[in-house]
Amino acid sequence: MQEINSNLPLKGLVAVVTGAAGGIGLACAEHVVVAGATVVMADNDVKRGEAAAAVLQAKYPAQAEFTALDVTDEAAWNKLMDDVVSRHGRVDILVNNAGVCVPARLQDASFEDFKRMTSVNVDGTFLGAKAAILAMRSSAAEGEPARGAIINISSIAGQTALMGVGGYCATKAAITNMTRALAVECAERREFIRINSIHPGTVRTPLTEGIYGADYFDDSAHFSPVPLKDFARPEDIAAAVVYLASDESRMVTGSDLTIDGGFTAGIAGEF
Amino acid sequence: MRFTDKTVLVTGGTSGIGREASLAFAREGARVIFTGRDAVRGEAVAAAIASSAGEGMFLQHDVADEQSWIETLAVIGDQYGSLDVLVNNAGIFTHGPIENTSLEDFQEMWKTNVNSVFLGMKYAMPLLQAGSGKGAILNVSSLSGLVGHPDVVSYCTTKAASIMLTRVMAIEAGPSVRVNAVAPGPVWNELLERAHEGQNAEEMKSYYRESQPLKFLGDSSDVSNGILFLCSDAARYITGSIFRIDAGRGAD
Repeated sequence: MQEINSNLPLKGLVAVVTGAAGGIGLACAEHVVVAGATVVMADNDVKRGEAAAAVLQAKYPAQAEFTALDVTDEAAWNKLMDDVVSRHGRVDILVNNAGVCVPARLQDASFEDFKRMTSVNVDGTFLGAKAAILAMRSSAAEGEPARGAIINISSIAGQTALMGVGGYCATKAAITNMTRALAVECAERREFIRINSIHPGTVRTPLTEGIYGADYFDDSAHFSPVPLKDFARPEDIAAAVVYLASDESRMVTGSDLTIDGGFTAGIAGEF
Repeated sequence: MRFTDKTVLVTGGTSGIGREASLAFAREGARVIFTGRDAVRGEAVAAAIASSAGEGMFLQHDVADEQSWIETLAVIGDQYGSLDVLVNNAGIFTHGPIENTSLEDFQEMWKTNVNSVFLGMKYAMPLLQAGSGKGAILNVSSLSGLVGHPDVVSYCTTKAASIMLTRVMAIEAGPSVRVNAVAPGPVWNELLERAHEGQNAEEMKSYYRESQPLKFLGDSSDVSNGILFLCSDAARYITGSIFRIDAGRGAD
């Protein structure tokens, strides 16, 4: 059995996190840094991204950097991965976190909004996974199988229907099954690129505060249908990302981990 | 040390995944009570925990027996007052087509694999609720509880039952107690080796490794790592989740 350094399970590894300027992505960036990795924080919001990276750099010098990225731009992905491999020699971890949600019932949703979600959530995940897999292969040692971990941030909306966010459900379900398909593809090539998805319930982030309003999270009545009677914090997702990125989960691929306080376990309430 | 000052009960702790989890919880600072039917193996695990300066106690325990659960938890209640983690790991595996499976065989497996989970959650709940307010139950189910395999009708059925017990109890036990399950694929340990006694071990390992998408055959530690993660505070928002540790078997 290989020894696992439980304090620094990602020591010496290089990670790319998208949507890293805030919310879940920022927490993931911080957690992988604390676990010993160097993180490339990617976001299309340069101002917020640089500010977030500066905070991490102050705490963990030389372990965090920011790069501007539009996840829907294939050339930008290739440039990012080439740059990371040329400067760090490798890419070990990709967290495909960037995502958008435009709430609407499908019957009312504009095609423009639907395509926007498809582009960022589905195309962005596809392009990121493709660029990362190619980078992991290119940086594998001669004669050795490619290694790495890709964690796609899906949603409980990718496992079950949620009212009022039908388009988002469709894109997140696509990520759920893309994860399994990619995992099997890489594994059947005898590679050790593991690909898993995480399915958060309601997490308090700038994205969800934008949708629900910040006050929403102060009213516990909104979380009474959740068995744990609470919402998730970004670090609850980030802790699982570290586990799925580390050798502790070396036998885990094509799996989906739900982090929702029990919301989708069944029908709460009296029978 | 993720489990300092935590009291942890692991059933089926004298071999395989349960033994590995018991050792791992002890390494991470827990007081581990591990149970099983075989006192000789139990004392060997107790000695292994003691030799690494961990805190462990073996209790002889039949998980299919209601009275045995009541007695086991009375000992833990008297000694520790509360419980932080319950790992329902004990289980048995047999296979055969339905025409060769007697009702007695089927019921025997149900007792060990399902009644044990029901009884464990029922009788441990008061002690889990008496603890820190952040208790955790982890049921060791199987990939066989999510997908069917030919000639494994009893085992698959019991493991599916443990998954539904997990989901229902997650709703009932919140917010103070979390309930999750792992669904492992095959791992190479002494139990699988014993199941293939008389066959070439290297050939069997190769068979299992090549029959799954990820060409890596794990061992008990791979499941134990997932168990510890799900029982730790890092997983404080995870409940009702069924997590596959299966080298991609369940993905395709």
